[in-house]
Amino acid sequence: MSAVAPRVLDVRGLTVSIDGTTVVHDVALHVDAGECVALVGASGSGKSVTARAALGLSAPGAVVTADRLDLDGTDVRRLSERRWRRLRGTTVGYVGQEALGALDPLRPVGREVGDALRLHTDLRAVDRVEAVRRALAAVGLDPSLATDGRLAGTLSGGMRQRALIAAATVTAPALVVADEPTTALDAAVAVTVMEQLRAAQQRGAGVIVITHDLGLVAGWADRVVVVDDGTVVEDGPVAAVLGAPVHAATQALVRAARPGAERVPAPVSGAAPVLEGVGLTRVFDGVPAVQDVSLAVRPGRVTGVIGASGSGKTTVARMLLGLEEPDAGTVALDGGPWVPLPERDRRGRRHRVAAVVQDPGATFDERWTVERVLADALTDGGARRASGGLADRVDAALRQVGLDPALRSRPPRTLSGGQRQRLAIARALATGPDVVVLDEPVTALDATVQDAVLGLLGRLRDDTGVAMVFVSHDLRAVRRMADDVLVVHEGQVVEQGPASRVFDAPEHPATARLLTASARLAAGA
Amino acid sequence: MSGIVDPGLQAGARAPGSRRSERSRGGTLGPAGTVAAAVVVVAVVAAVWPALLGGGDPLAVHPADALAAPGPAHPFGTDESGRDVLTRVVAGTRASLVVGVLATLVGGFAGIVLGTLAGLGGRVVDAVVGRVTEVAFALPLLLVALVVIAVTGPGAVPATLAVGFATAPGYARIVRALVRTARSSQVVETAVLQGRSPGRILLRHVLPAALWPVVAVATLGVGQAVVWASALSYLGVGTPPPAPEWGAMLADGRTYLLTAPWMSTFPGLAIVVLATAVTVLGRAVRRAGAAR
Repeated sequence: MSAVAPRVLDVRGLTVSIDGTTVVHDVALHVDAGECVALVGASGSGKSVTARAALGLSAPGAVVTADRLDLDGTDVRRLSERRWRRLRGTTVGYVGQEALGALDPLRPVGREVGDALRLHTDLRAVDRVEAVRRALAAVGLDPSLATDGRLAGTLSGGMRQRALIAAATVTAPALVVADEPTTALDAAVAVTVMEQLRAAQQRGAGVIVITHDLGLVAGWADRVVVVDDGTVVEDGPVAAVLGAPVHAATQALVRAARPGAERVPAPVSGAAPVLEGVGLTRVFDGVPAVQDVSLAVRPGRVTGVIGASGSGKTTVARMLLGLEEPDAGTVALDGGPWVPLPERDRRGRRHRVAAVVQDPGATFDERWTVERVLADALTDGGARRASGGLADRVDAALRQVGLDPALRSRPPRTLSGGQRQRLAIARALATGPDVVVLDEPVTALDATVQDAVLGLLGRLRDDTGVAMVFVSHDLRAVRRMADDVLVVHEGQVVEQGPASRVFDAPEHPATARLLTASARLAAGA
Repeated sequence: MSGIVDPGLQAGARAPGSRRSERSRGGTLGPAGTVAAAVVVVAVVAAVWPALLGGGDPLAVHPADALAAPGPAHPFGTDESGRDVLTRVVAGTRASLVVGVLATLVGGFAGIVLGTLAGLGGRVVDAVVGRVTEVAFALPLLLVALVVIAVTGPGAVPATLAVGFATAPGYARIVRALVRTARSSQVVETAVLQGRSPGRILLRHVLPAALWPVVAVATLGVGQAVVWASALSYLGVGTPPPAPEWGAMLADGRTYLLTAPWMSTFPGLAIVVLATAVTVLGRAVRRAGAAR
């Protein structure tokens, strides 16, 4: 196709430096009409900076130079900001990373989608509405959104992401750039989002998908460009790059994308459950979020809880932790009452139940250092700093999760996402709990970091024999960790059983749909 | 009143982001902050050891020298009793600074207590504290202070308490908002999950989160408190005469404004300079702290 298709983006010798530090070095990148290119790399590899520089969206203070920077046949190296704005509305569509923040909460979604048309075309209002309706329908949204004045707040995360794609493609641009369009979306929503990008591609647009997860785009992209440390280290057809990765960075990405080793289930024990929820029900504003959910976590076993976004998984986890009072049902810890119970009566047994959440950053007091976080956890809130024997225990706790003890004096916010999650895991294990509830513990992490953190969790599970509740919409992660699986659909448990049975022979249609979406996302079909 | 409320609310709202967004000046005070710091240092010296700057007895009368214009003998002139204005301005620094700082401490402390109560208490406590502070907000600060003095009677201590209580609602609001935010934060949720007691969570996580922004706002409040304390003395309900106090001196000078303008001008300048210096220094310290 590339022999005849016009080149919509042609970049050569692109170098970007910010504050004197070169973050992108001599990058070449091209996209043909009707082609989907995946720009892949770990966090901080320079992939987003590359794409943004090619769109004239560099951060203030960035110095961008290029031997060649052609957009749809036009040299854009010396464009004024004014001309850039025009190009960005018409020739390039950009879908940013944060779908939840990118739409104005106070303006109707229909107007947001139509903005590019209003600013950059001479279309009459009637024709604009028609074009917006078509763009919305193309991404699988209700066309009446164009005129009914609904605000972004009334749409789900997946719908907002699709609205953004509609806004980026409404002017039928020659190039669409999507930055991490599926991160944090569950598989079913991610598939529809990728389908919309593919539809744009089939209409003749060139598409760039920026991602840290090679597995997500393998099936969807024609070509993969791997960026590491600001340079392109590999560039080629998906099959070739995936099949025979040459560079170490690519190999790490491929490893992370491979379906993880399946868990060899722990032997079924007759031991009494350490944590047991019975008939848990929770209603929010008259809408049932969780209905009659029962689950038993036995010592040394991992119970996976899977389900689409909004299925009630997190509410179940919060009720198990005693953070959310169930409207009906109980949770027992070692047969003794746990929920509902006044917090005072739980406090003495809190050290036996620990939690790890999706974004641990907000759980650390910003005034505390890594050392204080762990010293506090290890001494039940007694110590502010660690010396002597406690210092050794802090170091051991850090090493146990693969962190360098030299990080002790750092505030957690200066750590990377993966390091922070490791610290959160170290904190959770500091009290020697019997059970850890993990709510989407790897969803916010890079694919390569996910791989490492899952490996760590598996090792800790085997070493310490701690029981786990692993809540996630990422089936790959659950399959790798869990012995037993619970499928939650619209607040109810629709299926449960040994992980291998549920994954290999799903009985409920909802389970099958989750598995299909996950498989389609991986395969790109 | 708005002079106190506005920077306060702004600081409260901006506090979380300001660490990153406010431009760093390398952790130093900057030129304006340095000048302000120098003025404050001079004021503190004058308060602690007035003899070093002004010498003499601020109460010593020399009827022969009454209403002398500024000159070599009396750089700021003399008043109607022949007392040296420079000596009295220097001697008055202590009253202004002490009342300003103490009033801010009283206001800040009362604000922290009220705000914490409102932030942690149930709906009823929150509503009561909220309505009381709103009523206090609706009245001019000076009026609230005068009401307090009407109860306690005039004097330096009542003036301090009056200004303190009148400024408390502003601090209470900031603290309440910060406590509410901290209370529902994931940091606190994590501490609950770790089995920490409410008292310990309050001391370790909630109050530290609320305290720093309040301290930052309070440094600005000292300048305002200096002005309000002087205003009360000007009205004759603060520090009683003949003790040297800037507000009272300003009031004394009114009668001679046409014949001896220096009597009012220099105490007035002293109020403006000290209040400005403290406020500028407060901002500079906050910026330096934010940069850090």
